[in-house]
Amino acid sequence: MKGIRPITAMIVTAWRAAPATLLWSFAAATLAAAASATFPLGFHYMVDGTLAHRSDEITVGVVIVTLLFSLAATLGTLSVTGNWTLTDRLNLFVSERIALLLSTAPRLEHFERQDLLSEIDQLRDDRRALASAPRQLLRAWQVVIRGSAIMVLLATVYPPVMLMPLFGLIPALADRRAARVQARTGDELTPVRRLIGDLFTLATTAGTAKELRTYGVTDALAARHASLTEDALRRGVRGAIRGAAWEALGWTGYAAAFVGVIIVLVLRAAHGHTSPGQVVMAVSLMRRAQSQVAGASDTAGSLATALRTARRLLWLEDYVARENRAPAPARVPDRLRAGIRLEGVGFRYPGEGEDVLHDLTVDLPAGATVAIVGENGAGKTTLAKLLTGMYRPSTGRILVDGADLAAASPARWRARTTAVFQDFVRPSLLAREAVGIGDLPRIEDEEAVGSALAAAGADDLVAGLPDGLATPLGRWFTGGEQLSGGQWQRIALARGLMRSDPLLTVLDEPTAALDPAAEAELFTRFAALSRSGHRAGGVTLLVSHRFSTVRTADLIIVLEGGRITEVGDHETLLAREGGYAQLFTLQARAYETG
Amino acid sequence: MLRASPRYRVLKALAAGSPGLLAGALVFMLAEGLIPNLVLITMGRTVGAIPAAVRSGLGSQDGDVLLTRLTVAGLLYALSLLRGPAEDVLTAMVQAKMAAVQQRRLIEAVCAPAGIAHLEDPAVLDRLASARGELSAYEPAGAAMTLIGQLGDRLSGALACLVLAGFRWWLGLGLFAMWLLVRRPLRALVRARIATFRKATEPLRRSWYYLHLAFRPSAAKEVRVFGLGRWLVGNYRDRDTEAMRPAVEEVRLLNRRVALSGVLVLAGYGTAVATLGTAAARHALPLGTLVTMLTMLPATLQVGGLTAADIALETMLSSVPDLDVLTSDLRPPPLPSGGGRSVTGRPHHEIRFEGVSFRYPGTDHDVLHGLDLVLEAGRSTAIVGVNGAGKSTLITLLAGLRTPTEGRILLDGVPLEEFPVREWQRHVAAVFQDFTRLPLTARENVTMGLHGDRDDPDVLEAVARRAGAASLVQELPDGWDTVLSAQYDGGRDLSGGQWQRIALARALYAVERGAGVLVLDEPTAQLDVRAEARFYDRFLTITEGVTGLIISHRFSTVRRADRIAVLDGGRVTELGGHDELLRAGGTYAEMFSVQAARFAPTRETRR
Repeated sequence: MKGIRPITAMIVTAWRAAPATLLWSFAAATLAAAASATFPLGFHYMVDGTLAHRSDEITVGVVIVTLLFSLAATLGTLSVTGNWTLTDRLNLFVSERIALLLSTAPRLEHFERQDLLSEIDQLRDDRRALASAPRQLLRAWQVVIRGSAIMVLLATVYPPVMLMPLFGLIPALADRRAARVQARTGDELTPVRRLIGDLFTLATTAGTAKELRTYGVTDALAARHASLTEDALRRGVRGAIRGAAWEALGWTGYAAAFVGVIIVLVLRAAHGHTSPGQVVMAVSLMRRAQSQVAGASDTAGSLATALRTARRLLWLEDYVARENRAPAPARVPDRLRAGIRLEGVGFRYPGEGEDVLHDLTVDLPAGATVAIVGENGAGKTTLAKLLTGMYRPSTGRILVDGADLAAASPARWRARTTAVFQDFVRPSLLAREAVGIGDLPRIEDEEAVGSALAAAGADDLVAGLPDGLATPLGRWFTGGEQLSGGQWQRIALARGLMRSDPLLTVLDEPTAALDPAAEAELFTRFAALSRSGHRAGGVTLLVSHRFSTVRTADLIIVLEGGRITEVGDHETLLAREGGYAQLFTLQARAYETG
Repeated sequence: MLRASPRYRVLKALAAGSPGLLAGALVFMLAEGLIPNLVLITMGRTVGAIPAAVRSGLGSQDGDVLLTRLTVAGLLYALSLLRGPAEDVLTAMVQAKMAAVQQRRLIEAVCAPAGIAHLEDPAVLDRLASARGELSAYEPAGAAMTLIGQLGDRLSGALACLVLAGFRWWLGLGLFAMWLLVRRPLRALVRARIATFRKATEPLRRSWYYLHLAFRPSAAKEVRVFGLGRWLVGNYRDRDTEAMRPAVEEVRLLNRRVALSGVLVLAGYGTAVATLGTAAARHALPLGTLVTMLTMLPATLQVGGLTAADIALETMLSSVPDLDVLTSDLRPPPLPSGGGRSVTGRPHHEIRFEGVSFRYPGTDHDVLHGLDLVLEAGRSTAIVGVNGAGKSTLITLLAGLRTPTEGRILLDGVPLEEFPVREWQRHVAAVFQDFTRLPLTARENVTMGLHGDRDDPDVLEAVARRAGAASLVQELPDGWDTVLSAQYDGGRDLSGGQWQRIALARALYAVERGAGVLVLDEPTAQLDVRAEARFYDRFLTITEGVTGLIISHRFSTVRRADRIAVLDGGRVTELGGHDELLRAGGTYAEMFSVQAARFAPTRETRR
C-alpha cells in the first residue's frame, strides 16, 4: 500500500510537532462530529411526540437537541482554533524539516538538476498544504464518525435507507477525477508560474530594478508579467471548469439518488409505515451526510495536495538518506602527508550530453598552492566542486593521501575544507556572524573572527563600521550597512579563512572585485600565511584569471576544454612557451609602460 | 467608514477587475443565502402534508399536495447540490483574476518611482511581502470569494432567524442577537491575533531569512562547505518561535472565550427549543411549521459561528491596506514637464558633477563627499579607487536612480532634474556590476525587448560580435532563442564570464538604439584572459562616439580611457590621462607600479 506511507508520515509528523494539540484536536473533533450527527434524533422525538400527544417524548427531544447542538457548536469552534495552532506548529516543523534536508544533503545535484529542482520547488511552495494535512485528516475522521452515526440512526428508520450515504461515492469519485484534472493543470502551469514569480522578483528587487530603469523596460516587464498571468489565468480557469464539470456530474447523480430515497420514505409515510418524525430525522440526517460528502470533497483537493506534498517530502527524505549512505565512511586524515591526487577524473553534469572534465590526472602535493587557469567554461569551477565533494566524479577517483574521497563522509571531509566561491553569499547578518559562520564553533570568538578579518585585509573595513563587529550588514533588514562588491568579497574571504588548518582551501576568483593594490597586499600576506600555517599540510587551490597572482603558485594547472594541457610552475611554463606563456604575455601587455 | 473598510475595498477591486465576475459572485451569494432555507421550508411543508395524505390516501387531493411539495423540495435540493462545483469554478476565476490584478498593481506601484531607494527601504519591502501574502498562510487574492462565501452564510443564517421570527418575533431576534454576541469577542480576538502577527513582521522576516538561506540554491555551496544547515534551521526555529509567542497566548484566551460562549449558546438554544416544544405540546403549531422551525434552528448558527474561513478571511483582509498604502506612498510627485527639453544627442558638451555628496538613508556617513567631476562629451573617463570608495554609487547618481543629498549634476549646464527623468535613464546604457540575469531568451537578454518588441537582427549580431558574445550564442542549442536559465525547459546556464558578455552586448545594443552615455562597472571582472585582452583591444570601438564612464580595477582597461579619475574619500583626488598620472607619481602611479611589478619577467618576489 503505497498510499498509506504518506498518511502515516503526516500523522507522525503532526505528533512529533505538537502531541498535546493533536490529541486535543482529535478529541474535540470526535465529540463534535458525534454530537452534530446525532442531534436530529431529537427532531424525531419532538415531531412524533407532538403527533402522538406525548409531552415526555417532546421533553426528551428538546433536551437532546439543545445539549447536543450546543456541544457541537462549541466544540466545532474550539477545534477551529485548535487546528489553527496545530497548523502553525506544523508549518514551522515542516519548513524546518525541508530546510534541514535541503541544506544537509551532501551534494548539489538536487539544486542543479531540472527535474529534481522542480520537485523541490513544489515541495517548498506546497509545504503549507502539508502543514494543514492533519486538519484535513481530522475532517476525514469526522466524516467517518458522522457517517457511522448517521448510518445507525438511518437504520432505525428503514434499513435500506442506510445505502444512501453510499451514493456519496458518486460525487466522491467524480471529485477525485476533478482533483486529477486540476493537478495536471497545475503541473502544466508550473514553468509559467515560476517565470511569473521570477519577473515579479526582478521588478521588486533593487539590484535588478536599476537596470529595468536604465533600459526603460519597467512597463514592458509589467506588460509581460500581466500577459503571462492572463495566460496562466485562462489555462487555470479552463482546468477548473473541466474539474467542476466532473463535480457537477457527480452531484447530480447524488441528487437523483437522494430525491429517490426521499420519495420512497414519504410514500412509506403516506402508507403509514414510517412516522413523520422519522422522515424529518432521516431527511435531516441525509442532508448532514451530504454536507459531509461535500465537506470531504471540498477538502479532498487540499488533502490530495497534502498527500502529493507528503510523498514529495518522503521522496526527499529517501533521496537525502541515499545520498548520505556510505558503507563504512572512510576516515579523513588529520594531516596530509602525500597530498590529493586526481586519477583519471572525468565529469559530466547529470542529464547533460557532454563531459565537462576529461581524464584529469594530476598530483596536488601536500602544503602546495596550486593555481588553475583556463578560459571561461574550461571546467575550473567544476573541478573546485568535485574537490569540495559537491559532486562525485563520473569516472576516475580523487585520492586523499591514497584513500578514495568517494568513500569518506562528505560532511567530515568538508569540515576540513574551506572555500571562497565566485558567487559568494552576502549574508544579511551581523558582521561578526557573516565572517564567523566560516567556522561555526567559533562564531562567537571575536579573536578568531578578528584574525580572519585581518588575514583577508578586512580589519579596517570592519573597524570603519558604526558598531564594528556588531554591525548588521546588508539591506535586507532595517539598519543594515550596505557594502560595496569589493567589501563583500573581503568579508567572504575572511569567512573562508576562519577555519584553522584546513586540508583543502579553494579560492575561486577570490579577488575579482578587489582593487589591484588590495589584491597585491592580500596575496603577499596570504602567501606568507599559507607557508607558515600549513601544519596539516593542506592544499590551497586557487582559481584565477590574474596572472600576477597565479605566478606565485607552486604549481600551475592549465585547463582547456576540460583537459589538462600544461602543468608546472611559472618559470617552467613560461619557458615552454605554450598556452600559459601566451596568456601571461597577453595580460602583461597592460602593464608595459609607454 | 464603509469606504475605508477592507471588505468594501475588496469587492470594489473585484468590480474594477471584472464586473461580470462580481455579478456572478453576488448571484452565488444570494443563492447561498436563499436556497438552503428554501429547501428547509419546502421539506417542512412536505412533512406537514404527510398526515393528511395518510388519512385521505395518495390518490386524493391531499396526496397530490404532498407529491407536488415533494417534487418542489426535491428539485430545490438538487439545485443546492450544485453549489460546490459552482463555488469551485467561481473561486478559481475570481482568485486568479484578483491575483493578477493585485500583482499588476504591485508591480506598477514599485515601478512608479524613477529611483530605486524605495526598494531598499525595509518598510516598503515588508508591505510588499504582506501584500503578496508572504506573511501568512493565505493568499490575499482569495479574500473576495471567501468574503462572498461568508456573506452568503451570514445571509442564510439571518434569513433562518427571520423565518423563526415568523413564529415568535422575539425568538428570531433573540437568536440573532445571541449569535452576534457570541461572535463579536471571537472576531475581536481573531483580529488581535492577526495584528500581533503583523507586528512581528520584522522578527519573522529575520527568521525567514535563515530559512531562505537554507532553501535556496544560491547559498548551497557555502552552506555545505561550512556545514551551516543545522545552524540556519536552528536560528529559523528559535526566532520564529520567539516571534509567535504572543500569538500562542492569544489563542489560549480565545479558547477560554469560546468555552464561555458555549454557555450562552446552551441558554439561547435551550429557550428556543423549549418554546417550540411547549407550543407543539399545546398543539398551537401545525406540523409543517414545527418541522420547518426545528430544522431552521441549526441554520441560525451561520450568523455567528467561527469557522476556519473566518480566520482565513480576516488574515487576507489584514493585508488589503498594504497594496493601497504602497500605491499611494510610491506615487511619484508630478514630473516636471522638462520644459520640452529632450536628452537626445546629449551631452553636447559635458556632464558635470558639482559638489555632489551622497549618504544612504539610515546611515551616518557620506559615501560621496563634495565630488567635482566633469565627463566630457564623446570621451571616456575611467574611475579607479579602493573598495567602497563610492564608485558604484556614483553610477546610480549619474543614471538618475538616486538623487544626490547635496550638490547637483549638470547636463550641458542644465540641472539633470530639469530633464524628463525616465528619458534620461534610458539614455544611460549601463553594465552594472550586479547586472541582471533574465530567465528569458538570449535575444531578450540583449535587446531587453521584454514584450515581443521587434529586434534588428543585424544590430544584434553586430553588438554580439563587439561584446565577444557571438560564438557563445552560436553554441547555444537554440541560438538566440535559448532561455538563459537551466531552471526552464531547454534552458542553459551561462558562466559568470559568459553572462558578462551578454550584459555588455545589452548595453551596446542600447547604444545602437540611441543611448548616448555608456557606463561600464567592472566590465571584465569575470572575463578570462583572452576575453579580457580582446575586450581592451576593442575598447576604443566599444566606446566610440559615446560619453563613457568605466569603473575597473584592471589597468588594461583603465589605461585605454581618455581620462582617469582617482576616487578617494568620496572625492576625486587625481585626474588625467594614463601617462600624465604615471608621471605625476601619485596614488595612481603607485597602484599601477605595484601591479606591473607582479608581471616583471623575473620572480624577485619569491627569491
